[in-house]
Amino acid sequence: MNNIKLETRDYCLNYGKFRALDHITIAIPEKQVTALIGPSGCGKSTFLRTFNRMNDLIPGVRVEGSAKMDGQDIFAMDVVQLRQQVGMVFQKPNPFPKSIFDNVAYGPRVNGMKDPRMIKELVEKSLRGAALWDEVKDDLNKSGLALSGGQQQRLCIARCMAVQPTVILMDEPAASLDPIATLRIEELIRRLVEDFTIVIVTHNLQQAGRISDYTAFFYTDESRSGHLVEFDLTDIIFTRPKDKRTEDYISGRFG
Amino acid sequence: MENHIDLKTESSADLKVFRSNNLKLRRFTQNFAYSLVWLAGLITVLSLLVVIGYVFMRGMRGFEPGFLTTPPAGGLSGEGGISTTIVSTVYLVLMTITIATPLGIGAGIYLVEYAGEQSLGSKTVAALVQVAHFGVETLAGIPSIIFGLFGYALFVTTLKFGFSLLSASLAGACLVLPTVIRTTEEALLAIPTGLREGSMALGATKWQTIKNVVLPTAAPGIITGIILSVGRIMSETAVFFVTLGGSFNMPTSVFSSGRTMALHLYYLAMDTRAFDKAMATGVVLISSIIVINLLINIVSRKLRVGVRD
Repeated sequence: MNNIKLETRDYCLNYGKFRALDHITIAIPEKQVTALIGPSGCGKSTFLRTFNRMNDLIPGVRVEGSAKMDGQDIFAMDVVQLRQQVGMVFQKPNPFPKSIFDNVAYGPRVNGMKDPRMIKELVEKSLRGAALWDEVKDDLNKSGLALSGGQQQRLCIARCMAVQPTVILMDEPAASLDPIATLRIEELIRRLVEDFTIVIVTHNLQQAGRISDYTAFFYTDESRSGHLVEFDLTDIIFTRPKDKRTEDYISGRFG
Repeated sequence: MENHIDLKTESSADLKVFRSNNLKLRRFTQNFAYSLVWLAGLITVLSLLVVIGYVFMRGMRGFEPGFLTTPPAGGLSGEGGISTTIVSTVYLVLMTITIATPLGIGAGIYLVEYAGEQSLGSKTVAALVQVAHFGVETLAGIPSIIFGLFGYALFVTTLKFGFSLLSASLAGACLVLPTVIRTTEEALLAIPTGLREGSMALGATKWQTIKNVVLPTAAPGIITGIILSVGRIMSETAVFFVTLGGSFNMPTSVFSSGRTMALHLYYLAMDTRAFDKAMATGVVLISSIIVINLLINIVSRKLRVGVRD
């Protein structure tokens, strides 16, 4: 097993009195794709957003237990520095209403990069990395909103890569895309994992099976709190899960 | 299926009659309602055209060479042009917007972007923010003469700015602030959360996010609010009647008294025999407002093209 990149121990998250995540303990390995699966409302997106502290933006959230990256307490880190290291790709492509170039240059710029030559290099590198360069290299000044949905999502991945994170969180990155665009994103994810630790939330079990090395199954019971039921190699989760609920979910008996 | 509906309780003949009657009635109501709204639309458009047509016809009689470039002659005759009133109007609009825009946009940003999270920390702040929201909404609906009297009491007499462009623009700013604040708020609220999150997730601070993503995206909406305010100031009389004075001389400083086109129109119509001149001033005023409304349309069309949710 690889080094542990992200890890939580007895991590709980509460919205006011409601406990959304209940005692999650997990160790996510470096430079692997880890898929978070489970029925709607089981807290997998909320859990994903722990690692770049996006939940900080939601009023009334309180956490317990520990969450660490490279052994460092995530909640003790400066949130801006944390987000430089932990990038995120959202369910709905959200390019800024700016040019393609400015979209990718946005992260480096807000993080203090000024040298136009360095920014230009980084933009090209990131667009190449996100397999978008060949399609847009002649219209870098075109609005990012003019791209197709799949291209927009790859633009968002490039934008994320330009900040040079070590982890990329993906919240159902292909949920709003057609099958061909989805395939391209999946291929991209497999290539990205050579350089990044990827954690991906997906509702699509086949997708989890195709692209992930590890799978975590989240589930919620009558309390409506999210639990981690089982976490293992994807092969094991999909062929011989230890928990009955995992098996039922995988085989499509609910969810 | 346990809850299917049994249609056979009614004889099929009855059902047919019922259906066709019902259809006739529905057709009739449809046509009736359509006629009513059509009539309402027609009356509205016609009355608007009548007003504008009347003003333009009478106004054309008042137009004479140099109407726009000569100052009013004063006196009961109402002779002369409107050059100084155009200048006063432009100065007043510029000064008012200069005061109201930064304040209004700043307040709008605070109320949308910061007030929420600060309210969580403190009940006092939450209460103040509630009062601010309520205040902005109420102020938008207050008769403008109230702002005028307030401006008269504070700026003209207490602060001793006298009847001047300064007093008038400060009072005018109070008048249009609610508009600027509310359009700013609405423009900010219309921005998808995804854009804000996208920026924050790249390591941008809240202020960087507001400055680089939120404000540029909201700019068309905010600009619309400012242009609306320009129109409001140009057409306002009550506030400036009691703060700007009524001098038709060319203003020379911010402490000069002045007369806007709208005020001039009022003076001409009430105090002189030059009714056609008043209408001619009205023509200039209406034309300017039409141009402004066209501007708003262009800007808000850009808004729709620029931002998709």
